[in-house]
Amino acid sequence: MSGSMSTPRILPAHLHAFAPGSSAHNTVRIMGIISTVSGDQATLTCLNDAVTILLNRDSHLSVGSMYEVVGKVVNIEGGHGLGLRVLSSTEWPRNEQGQLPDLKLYEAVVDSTHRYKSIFYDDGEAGTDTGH
Amino acid sequence: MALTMLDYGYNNKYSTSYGANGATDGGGFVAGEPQSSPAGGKGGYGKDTVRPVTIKQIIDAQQPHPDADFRADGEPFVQVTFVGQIRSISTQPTNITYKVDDGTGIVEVKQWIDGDANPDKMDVEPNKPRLVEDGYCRVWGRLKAFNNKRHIGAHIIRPITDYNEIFYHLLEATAVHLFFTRGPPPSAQSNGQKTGAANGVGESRQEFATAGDSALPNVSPLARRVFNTLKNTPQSNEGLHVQMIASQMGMPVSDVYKGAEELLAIGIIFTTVDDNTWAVLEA
Repeated sequence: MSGSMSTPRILPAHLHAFAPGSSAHNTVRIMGIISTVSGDQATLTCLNDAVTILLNRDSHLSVGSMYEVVGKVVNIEGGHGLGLRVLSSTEWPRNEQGQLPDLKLYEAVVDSTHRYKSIFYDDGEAGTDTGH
Repeated sequence: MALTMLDYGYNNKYSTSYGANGATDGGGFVAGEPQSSPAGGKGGYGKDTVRPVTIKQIIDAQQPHPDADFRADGEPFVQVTFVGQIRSISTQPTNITYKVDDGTGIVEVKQWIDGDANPDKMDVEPNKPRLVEDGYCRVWGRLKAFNNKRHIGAHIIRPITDYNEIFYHLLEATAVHLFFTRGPPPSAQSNGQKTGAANGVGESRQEFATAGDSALPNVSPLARRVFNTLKNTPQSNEGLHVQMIASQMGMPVSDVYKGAEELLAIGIIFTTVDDNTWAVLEA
């Protein structure tokens, strides 16, 4: 039951593990800063990597802001690799000191959620489980 | 002299307070028993201690029979804390129900409305962050089961303002999960009450890595030292005699026996040529 409702946290490098066909479970959660928006596509940058986001009509993402995006991993039309179709997006604001949330910390969280998977996601879900 | 008296005063107070507790509770922890309490600072985690969890842990928690405490990682718990995104808010006559999603699952959180409280309380501080749909919140509450459906009865639910708290919580929940499944990190053992969660992120990750490497479960610092001596002293396949270990460690033979007993009980060392000679069971 929890399986259908969980959305594994990933980094852009993990996208392939949740690609259509390779996993029954391809709704994921990713964080980053929007670096470009053009038409119905945007680029979300997380540390030194990026992912293409396919926007829906309700998503209003602004360049330079940080978002958490829940989306489905899809093949981008025209053979442009994998992307993420937005299901929901939430802006993560700056704290009282004016700092954005720390993406290095996000990286540590992603690492720990895949390493100690049993308390985060069901076994049937794909990912970068390093076998613990 | 002054020191001795102080010590005595402290001990006296200690046993009195536990004695009084024992009388009202009708049992439990009595003075003179500390030796037999579980090793490794486990006593600091009573089931009423607030436990940081993921929502998946709440959904997966086992309840041996109705009315029994829920368990996660084999450890009973009642009070929990977690963070998540509010997916919906529905206001009922008696409570407000929030659906909270932390990426590992979704759970309903109910906050009962206090009839005597001023309903306009929220408006007193208009600039205070509020609980809104799609916003993140921190919940403290009690896990309850009603008609086979689980929900959290919230004591406190507040909006999150520094979103790093979300990362912090997920790492803290992991640290506590590892504490219960693999035992405390080595430094926590020697310091008694210190927990991994109290350290910086990088530091505690390192500690857990070493705790995992040595594969030593929850044992006393004494047993840990005996184990390390047995493991690191050159020896034949007959292992080491108790006298050898004692002189190696510069400790009385009786202490070595105590440590070895613990290690024998959990089956990570074994007796070889006689009852006083042990070797490490290699995995």
